[in-house]
Amino acid sequence: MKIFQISSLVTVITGLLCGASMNVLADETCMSPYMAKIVGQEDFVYVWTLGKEGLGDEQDKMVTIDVNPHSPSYGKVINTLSVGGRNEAHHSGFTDDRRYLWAGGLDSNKIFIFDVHTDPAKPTLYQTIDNFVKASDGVVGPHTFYALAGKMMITGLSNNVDHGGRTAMVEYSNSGDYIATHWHPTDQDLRGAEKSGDYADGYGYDIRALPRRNAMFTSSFTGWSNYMMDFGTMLSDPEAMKRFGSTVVKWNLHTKNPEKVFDVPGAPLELRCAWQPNHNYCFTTTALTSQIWLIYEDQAGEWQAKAVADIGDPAKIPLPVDISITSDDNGLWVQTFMDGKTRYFDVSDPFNPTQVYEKTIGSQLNMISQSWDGKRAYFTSSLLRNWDKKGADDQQFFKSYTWDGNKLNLEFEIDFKAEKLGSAHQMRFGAYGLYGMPRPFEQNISAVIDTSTDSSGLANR
Amino acid sequence: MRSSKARILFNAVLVALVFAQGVLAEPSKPEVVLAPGWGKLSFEAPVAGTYDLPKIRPAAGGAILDAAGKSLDLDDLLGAKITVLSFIYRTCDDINGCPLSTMVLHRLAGKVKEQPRLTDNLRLLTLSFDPEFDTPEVMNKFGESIKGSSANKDGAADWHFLTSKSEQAIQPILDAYQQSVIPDMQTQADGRKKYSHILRVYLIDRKKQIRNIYNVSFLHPDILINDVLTLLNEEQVGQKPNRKAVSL
Repeated sequence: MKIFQISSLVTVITGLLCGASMNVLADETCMSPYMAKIVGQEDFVYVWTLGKEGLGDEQDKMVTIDVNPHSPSYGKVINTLSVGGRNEAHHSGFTDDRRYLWAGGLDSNKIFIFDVHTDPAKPTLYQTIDNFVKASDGVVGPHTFYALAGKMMITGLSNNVDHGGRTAMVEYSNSGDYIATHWHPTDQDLRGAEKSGDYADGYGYDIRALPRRNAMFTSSFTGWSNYMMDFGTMLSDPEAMKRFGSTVVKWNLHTKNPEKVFDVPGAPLELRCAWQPNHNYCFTTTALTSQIWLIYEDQAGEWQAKAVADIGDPAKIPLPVDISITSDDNGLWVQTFMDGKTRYFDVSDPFNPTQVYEKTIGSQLNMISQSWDGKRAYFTSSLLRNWDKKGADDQQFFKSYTWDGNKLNLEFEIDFKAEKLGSAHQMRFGAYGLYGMPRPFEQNISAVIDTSTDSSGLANR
Repeated sequence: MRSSKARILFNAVLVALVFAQGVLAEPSKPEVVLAPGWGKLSFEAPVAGTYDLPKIRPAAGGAILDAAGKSLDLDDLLGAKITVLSFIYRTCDDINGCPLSTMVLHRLAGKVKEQPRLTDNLRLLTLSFDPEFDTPEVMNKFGESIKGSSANKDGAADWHFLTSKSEQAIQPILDAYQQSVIPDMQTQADGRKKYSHILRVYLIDRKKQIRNIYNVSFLHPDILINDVLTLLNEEQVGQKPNRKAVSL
């Protein structure tokens, strides 16, 4: 394996590149297997940030942070790009060629497409899709942006009829053209899927795929009427609390037809699938019941869902939010919003996750992004505009840690309030090497290109 | 994963490469994980005609050269038949890159003889993005060697090997298909360029609409042939609309 090496730093990008595959890799363990990955040192973290009243320009913005320790601007915000107004900025995802970063607004339903390849240090707004609801025939709340080959699959959270949780996935071309809407199966219309338990609620949230098994999975959260409601008000509203998802759906990845609906009660959120070629399983966690669930293919080739561990004390409702699986499939980071903790589970036996470490990151905590080698982990604070804590507990931060295998060590942090940026939400990694560019602060460039397509299930995922 | 049949086909492609160029830069290492396309599919390919292939976007044309050096527009080769379009560069030595797409098209060409329904309905296009080295003469030689390299002769297949006059000529086509190609900083030992690009193969219907895009994870002859048959079924029963909303 030849290595793409720039000066003393080794940046390795692998992915679905061919010819002379450039080698750089980024959150790297949670992204689409269709995409090139940064396996070495990432240069940037792009933070999709909610505008906050009374802070700076009050607009949603893409914030670029320099995270390369060898850069003169390491640890600094090096660029901000406001998109105009507040949209309930939430998640983002790269196209499969990693040239563009799509970012959604859960309230405005706008999708902002950033060019991140022309100058990775200074993303520009390339295109805005503002007819998502109309084009999709009523899908509301563009959430996850998941790269397919030449296409983007976008999960919705809601609909424009009752603003509840009934929703669909919406498929776009990389050039921003609407392709199709794939509604989630319900009791009224299972669309050919098998209902394996009590629920077929039609809710949506996250998406991940195992191409090797021609399998795609979606989880289920709640609709616009809940995610835009004040958190305290919602908790005290029994009817609102009934409007949470209880399902994971397995889809045929190629045909986009739903095949099986699993009961996973308690609002299963992020989905993370194993990377190793023979690991036919994915994890999710339930927000309301605080459990880790395993979605797995049994020895008979049937897909099943099973609760395999508790997270903290479920009775205290710690509210697990983002999770991140390590590239070797042995570890799972689990964030809990209410207590601001990150927990590391040993999942080398996926049926018996065991917590081996925990640390309080802040007063509230949502997202994590870890490097492919697992040595660096970044954390942000915001969940939803109306769900974030109030007053002094509404800390808004980006924190960079190194992980030595036993504990997290803080490297630097950025106070998004002090910097008048807003509420820090989802992170994605960037690197010069993805686009064949040398790092500007390095001399004596010696580049060796990796032509191998190795491990990581590249060919099998 | 690496079936003997796939190995035979891959060897055929490699032999053809050597024959055509006299050069094969550093064969891929045996420990490399082979893409699914080289072996038996690890799942049952969806049955043709049981699913939709929504329109993705219009397929673009652009100035190209055929293997005889004749100028034509890529658009002229679209529309008459269902078309599979592959972008390659001939000296690509990544087993899961251009050789994979050439092998898959080779197996599709073989299917033409097995399924007469395809004879008048399927066209294969292999278009180089390295016009400096992949001249019409070279592409012609390459194509002839590929077509003649297997015991399963596929001379009957409608398979065109294409190039362009210059990088300036091919770039608009690459842009239109969003086929990212980045010249590497290092060249091969003989001075030829190397490129980084995402493997993309396009399925284009008779109305010149892109109906599917394949990468290394899904580029497999069994999937592609069923997608082609799905489009043929669709032509027989009438145009299917994109999947619309389910009433709430």
